[in-house]
Amino acid sequence: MRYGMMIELDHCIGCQACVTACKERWDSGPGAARDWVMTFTHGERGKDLGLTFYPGLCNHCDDHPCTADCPTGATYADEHGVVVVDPQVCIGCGNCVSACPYGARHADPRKGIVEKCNFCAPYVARGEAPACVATCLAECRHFGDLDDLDSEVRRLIAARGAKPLTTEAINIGPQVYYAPAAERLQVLAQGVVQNYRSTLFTHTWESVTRPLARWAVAPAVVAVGVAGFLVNLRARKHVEPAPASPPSAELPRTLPRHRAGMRFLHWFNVLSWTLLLVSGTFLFSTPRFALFGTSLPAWLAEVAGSRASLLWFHAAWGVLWAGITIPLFLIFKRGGIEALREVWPTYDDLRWLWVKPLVMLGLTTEPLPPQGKYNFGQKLFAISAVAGTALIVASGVVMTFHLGPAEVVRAAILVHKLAVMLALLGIAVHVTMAAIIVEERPALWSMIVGEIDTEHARAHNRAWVEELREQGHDGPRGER
Amino acid sequence: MRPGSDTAVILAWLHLIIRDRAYDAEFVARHCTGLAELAEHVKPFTPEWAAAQAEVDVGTLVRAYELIRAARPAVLVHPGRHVTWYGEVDTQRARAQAILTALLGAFWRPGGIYRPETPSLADYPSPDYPEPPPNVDQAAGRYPFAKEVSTTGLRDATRSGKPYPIKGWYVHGTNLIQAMPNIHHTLEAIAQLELLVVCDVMPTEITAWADVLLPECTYLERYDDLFVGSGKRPYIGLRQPVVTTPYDTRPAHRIAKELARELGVGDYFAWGSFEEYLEARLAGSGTTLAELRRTGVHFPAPTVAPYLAPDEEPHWHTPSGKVELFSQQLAEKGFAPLPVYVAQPAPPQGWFRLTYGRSPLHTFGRTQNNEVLFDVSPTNCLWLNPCCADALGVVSGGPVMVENDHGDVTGPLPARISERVQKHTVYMVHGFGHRAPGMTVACCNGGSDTAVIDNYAIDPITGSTGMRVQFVRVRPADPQTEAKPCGTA
Repeated sequence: MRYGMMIELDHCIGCQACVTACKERWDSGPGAARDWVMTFTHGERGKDLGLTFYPGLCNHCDDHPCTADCPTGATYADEHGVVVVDPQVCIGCGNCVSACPYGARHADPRKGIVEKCNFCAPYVARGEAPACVATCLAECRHFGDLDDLDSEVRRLIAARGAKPLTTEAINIGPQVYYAPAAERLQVLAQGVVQNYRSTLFTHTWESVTRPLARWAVAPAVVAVGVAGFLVNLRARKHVEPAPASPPSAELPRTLPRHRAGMRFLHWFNVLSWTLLLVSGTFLFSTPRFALFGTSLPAWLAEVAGSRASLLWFHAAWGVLWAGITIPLFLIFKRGGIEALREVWPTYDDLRWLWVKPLVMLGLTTEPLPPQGKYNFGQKLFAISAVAGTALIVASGVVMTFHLGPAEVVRAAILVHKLAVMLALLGIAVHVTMAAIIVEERPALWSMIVGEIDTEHARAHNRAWVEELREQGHDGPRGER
Repeated sequence: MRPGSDTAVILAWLHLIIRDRAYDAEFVARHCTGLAELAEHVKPFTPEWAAAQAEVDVGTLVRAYELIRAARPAVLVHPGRHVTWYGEVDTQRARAQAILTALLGAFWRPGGIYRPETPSLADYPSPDYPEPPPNVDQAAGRYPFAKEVSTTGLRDATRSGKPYPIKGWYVHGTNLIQAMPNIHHTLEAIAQLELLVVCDVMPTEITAWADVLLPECTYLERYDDLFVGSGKRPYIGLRQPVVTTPYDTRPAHRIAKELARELGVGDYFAWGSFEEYLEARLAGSGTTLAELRRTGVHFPAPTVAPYLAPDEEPHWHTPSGKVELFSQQLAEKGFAPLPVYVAQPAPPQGWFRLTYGRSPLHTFGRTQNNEVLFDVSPTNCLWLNPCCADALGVVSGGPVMVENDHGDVTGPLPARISERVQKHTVYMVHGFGHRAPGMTVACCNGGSDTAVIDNYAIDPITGSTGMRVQFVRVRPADPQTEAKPCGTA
């Protein structure tokens, strides 16, 4: 079954009852409607002055290029050839709007999603007519199954010689037929079929975002991991340099490093990042936007139940993640001031940034400059993580709640993706350092149990240990 | 065509049909009288003469005639609605159209005008009405063919006290401020009233003048009287409430019944509930209220054929029982018995004839406040021929003001520059330009035609009010003072 429509232009009286019926049925916002009636005046008074009404709607084309420009896969042609938008999956980026040669899509500012004619699919499914057809007082619209050669719509198309609105340059298989020929040609002469084009967003995605993800970020993440293993191999051949000062009797064997709240926050973050990264990456499910092919997104949507539930999961977990991490971070870090103090770079930090990689690669045996509670690598990671998180959360909120006009939502998608990729590079180094490089294992362990081996700390965070020692007999003022 | 030249064109078609003996000779012979007088009368009305009057190409006019001739009797010469424009000539035009239909043999013939049937329904039993006193038009001895009293007649009687004074108005569902020409006369009349009662669904302009305002609920909240559909297929339609009334607004029939009870004439409204009234009217109709509630519409079996049988000799609604091409009735009352054409004067240089009409989206001035309709059609435009727009400094879509020679002005409304309007004419859709603050959606959008129509022409035959005799000037709106129509006032 292939649904289609036939419109008798010479019967239309331009009353726009179709538009108002459609607006009421689908609750279109101010200034918005899924269909339209244009009035064309042509010719010259005293000669051939004429008037043609153009009642238009989505043509439900065979090649629906509009669906290719949807990043989330919210719009597709159903089994009857009806091009629909799933309001649960559409995030209102409006990227499909300019892809329609007929201008049949619009971003509804009130609903925050893209709207278009769906031939009243849910109503048709239960045996009713589309609203515009049912209300047309000139009875100029005919709807039915184009596959059924005996259907009224097929019969009328043949009887009246109806044809779709196509030009030599643009023919994407529209399934709304117009008759008679003179009026149809008049409508076409008004230039109602426009070249469809992709947006700057699509171009940016195809030329920057996706190549970055495929050929820079993903390989870099792998490379960092591999580098970690190489460092391990190398470390085995070298003997750890002796500690600069003997173990101190004044300090216990372990030092308190991370309090429980921070540890929870860290591991909740790990879980969230894993879930959000996987679900988020594969939300981009259409061929033009999928980062690593379309089969994984399809599989994941199936696991989740549908694209809508995968999107819902991603958005809900994202909100949960932001709702927990941001307040906790602000509480633990006293509104962020403590965090700022902790990551503020020192002269030794900058030197460390230069010496540490050389040491890791075995190119120097120069002792590491003394580091505070966090070495400068950790500080850099923290800075990128906080900045990245802020951008990810802000852009995610824009997408989740469809805030702002379509251009803002589109920008949010790019910001979200780029921020994730940036943060991901930091995470790759961070995870490699903590989980792969053997030498740093005590740091990983400290994030689990909260205490760090004093000797390890002395080697890696000498300045911090000194600070603790100076606090003397009151015992170390760690974070407990 | 040039406004007002319609009759000239029809007369030319009558001329051609009779010249060519292209009329339906059998129909005319059997059903019509006065062909000889008509033939003599239309001799001077050549297509060339009519084309000059109408400012159209004579070839087009003749081609149209040929189409009509070839199609007869399947030709529908429909007068349209709201056909009073210039006064007496309107009845003459309507007669010319009916005569054309008769010559084409298109009365009660397929493709022409069918014979409608109106289902008969019982009235709710009530005492006989007393004979009312003569209305103001009858008392003044005017409008011999009028079927109803004229609104302008009532207004003038209220203003002048002649032929007798009128001290109270009960206005129901008619926004007199927008519906009647010459708002000054309306306000003068209102000033003379002792009581003005307005019953309306919308807080329109007239409601602000009411001494007593009776808010009516909308059609969605009330029963109305049965709709008796007259047409090819007669029907009885039920208008029933679909939502409960959220406010203390009442149906007009309940307001009337309650007022009647207070005034001591409650016997004329003897039903208990309105359902009871409807049930009583439906008795013997072939349907019941319960059934209509479900089906909405009942189609009684037709008893009248829509088209003439071959040997049928119907009695037409005239003294002779025939279609009277020549009207003795008109002649006796001193009017032209055969349709005459009077050219409407051209407006002076710099002025335009103001015409108005309807948008298929809106119903009179009553629907502009509907949010969905407003969204699709928020304002009317002033249609202006391109030739005149340049001279006036008016740009397409730019706001313009329309004013008459009495200093009345309406606008701003956007200019719509189009070849579709003739060069000495401007046009706007009626019903916009609301200024009542209660019309929260529609208020302050567009212009009101009646705000600048002071001149009108009464048809002395029927008493109808013609409102296309007003000349107006058009100018761009002053961006400083006229950009916001409701800024201060």
